Amino acid sequence: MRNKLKYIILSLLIIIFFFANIFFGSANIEFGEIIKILTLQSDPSSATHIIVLSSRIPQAITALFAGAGLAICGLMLQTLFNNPLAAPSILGISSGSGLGVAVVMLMFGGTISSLGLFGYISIVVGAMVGACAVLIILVLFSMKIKSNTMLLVVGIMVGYVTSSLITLLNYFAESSGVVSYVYWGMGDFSSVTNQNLKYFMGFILFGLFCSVMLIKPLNALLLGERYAENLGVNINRTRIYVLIVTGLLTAIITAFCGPIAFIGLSVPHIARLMFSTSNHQTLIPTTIMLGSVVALICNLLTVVATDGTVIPLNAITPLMGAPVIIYIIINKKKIAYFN
Amino acid sequence: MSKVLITAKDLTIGYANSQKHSSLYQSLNFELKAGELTTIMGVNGAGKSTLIKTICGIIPPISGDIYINENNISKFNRVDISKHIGIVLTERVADGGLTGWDVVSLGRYNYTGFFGKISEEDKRIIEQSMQSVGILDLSTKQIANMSDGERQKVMIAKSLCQQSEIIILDEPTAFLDIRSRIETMQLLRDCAKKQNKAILISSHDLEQSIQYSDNLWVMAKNEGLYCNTTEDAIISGVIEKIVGNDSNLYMDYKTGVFATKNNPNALNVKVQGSDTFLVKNAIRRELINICDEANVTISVNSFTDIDIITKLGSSKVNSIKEIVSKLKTYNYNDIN
Repeated sequence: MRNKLKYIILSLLIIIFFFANIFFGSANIEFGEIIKILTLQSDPSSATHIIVLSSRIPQAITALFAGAGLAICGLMLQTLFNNPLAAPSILGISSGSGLGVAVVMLMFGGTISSLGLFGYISIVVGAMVGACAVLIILVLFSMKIKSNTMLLVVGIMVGYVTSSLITLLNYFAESSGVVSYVYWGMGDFSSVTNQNLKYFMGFILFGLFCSVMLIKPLNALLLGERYAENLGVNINRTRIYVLIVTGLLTAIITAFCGPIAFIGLSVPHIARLMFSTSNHQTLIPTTIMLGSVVALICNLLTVVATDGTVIPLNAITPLMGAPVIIYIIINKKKIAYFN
Repeated sequence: MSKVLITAKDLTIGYANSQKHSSLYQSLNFELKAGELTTIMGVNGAGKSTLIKTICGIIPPISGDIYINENNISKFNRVDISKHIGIVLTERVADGGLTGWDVVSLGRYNYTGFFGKISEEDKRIIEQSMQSVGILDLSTKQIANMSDGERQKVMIAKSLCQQSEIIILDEPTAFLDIRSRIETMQLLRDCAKKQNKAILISSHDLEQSIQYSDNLWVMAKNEGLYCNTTEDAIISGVIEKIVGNDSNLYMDYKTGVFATKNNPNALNVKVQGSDTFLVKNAIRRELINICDEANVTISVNSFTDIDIITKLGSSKVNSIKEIVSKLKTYNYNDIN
């Protein structure tokens, strides 16, 4: 009963912040005007119409899906590695995408944005290749290394290696390329256009669907690998599924929105605290919803925190995420979802 | 004749990789029967865990075969084994956010469908398992808030829920307080006797094993694996062997505990009467010999009415504490 109420609250929060994202933005548009646009009663060629329909709505939808996808990645990785600090950004999957994007951007220099659709696709492909490369490395190591903690360390090391490669690339690149890479690295939800939105949504929906499929083995993994194995879980297969799903989700989100930190790390913890359980039957749907809420809030803060300008997303997400992690660590005894 | 569930034939266990084999034990033969509780004993590093892991199919045998219900385990995959063997490990469950019900219901993993939905039948089995362990009240309690004893019971209920005919527990009482220890052992004995399961545990607690287990397996690197019913194992002297042949200890068959051999320079005391166990216990601790031919006779009428008789005369005391202090005043040479 109490859980039902929490689900209703989460749904309401999603609706509220989704519309808040449409109503508030860097351009000042009156509420009445926006309602007119939403009910398709305004002039379709007016600037405000274009801002709302081709910028604010796709941006809100992007935040909705990206938040859900990142949060679910964090949840699955935390369970798989039995580690509260596991997340795509920690395991090097994000930096893998980052490396792919860096190669593409710095190769083309600052001209990437002028290349249009081709430039766009090449960034996505770069991110996918990078993330998959890190994933393949992780999967290969996961066959050799039985301990999940050690695998986590390998992930962190891979992350460092990719970061050092990115630094090298940046050092030798033209300054204009570095600038566009740095901007990409700040993260934002505004770069998914209406044309790309359906692919973006499709990929993420597929990833979320896969995560629902993994509820049963993920729950068994909470008991530890040896217990899970005795219950009849195929550990290696589950591991590979989780890595592939999180890799795909991270790659697609990172390619479009940049390496967004902390949503994947902190949202699963908020969900556990809120529903006081680690049962994935509850956690998977709530993490998806909560991820959307947090991403929408972060996106809203990027526009309302300052007057008329947009601040980078990655300036906001750690402010939301870091306190949660610190709270969890300080209250480790009391909370003890990982003990 | 109870049913044999596990048979090992000419089994060699140990760790093997492509470069080298390091076998711990060769040509082991043993059986596990339904309705019996079996304890593996042995010093640390004797290979108890290796044997358990081999039986569970976690590590393959170097040579030889293990049969579950006459089917060779090497033809089983992990899922098949999980249907026959439920395990309870020493390691703590890492996650704290699951409730007792959540954990026990995971025991139904092999029986539930793709999404792990619990059917009415599953529900009944989960409740039954929790009831037989006596933890229905832990259904909504989270693991993080449970004591070690409660956690252990939850894991046992989980393994009951798996409905496997064999349950293997690695040191189930190692971290438990006295009460949980006794409860756990009684529970395991009940599972064996009432639910006709074959239960195999490893333990360092000899007295507990003697009290509860039907069979004793004793492992020692030089001696191999010795299997017998508990009492026959004790009589065979195999336990003294793992303690060490040169040691001053021996197994006292009257009390079922280890005692030190008689000290030639100490007082010899005879204890007679009813309920002498505690009196003997106190005397033995003072390194005083207890034997039938003695210079001092202690006659226990009741715990508050005890006579101490020597050739120098007799005296009456009324507590065990006083016996000990009285005996300490005797000079060995005077009495003899």
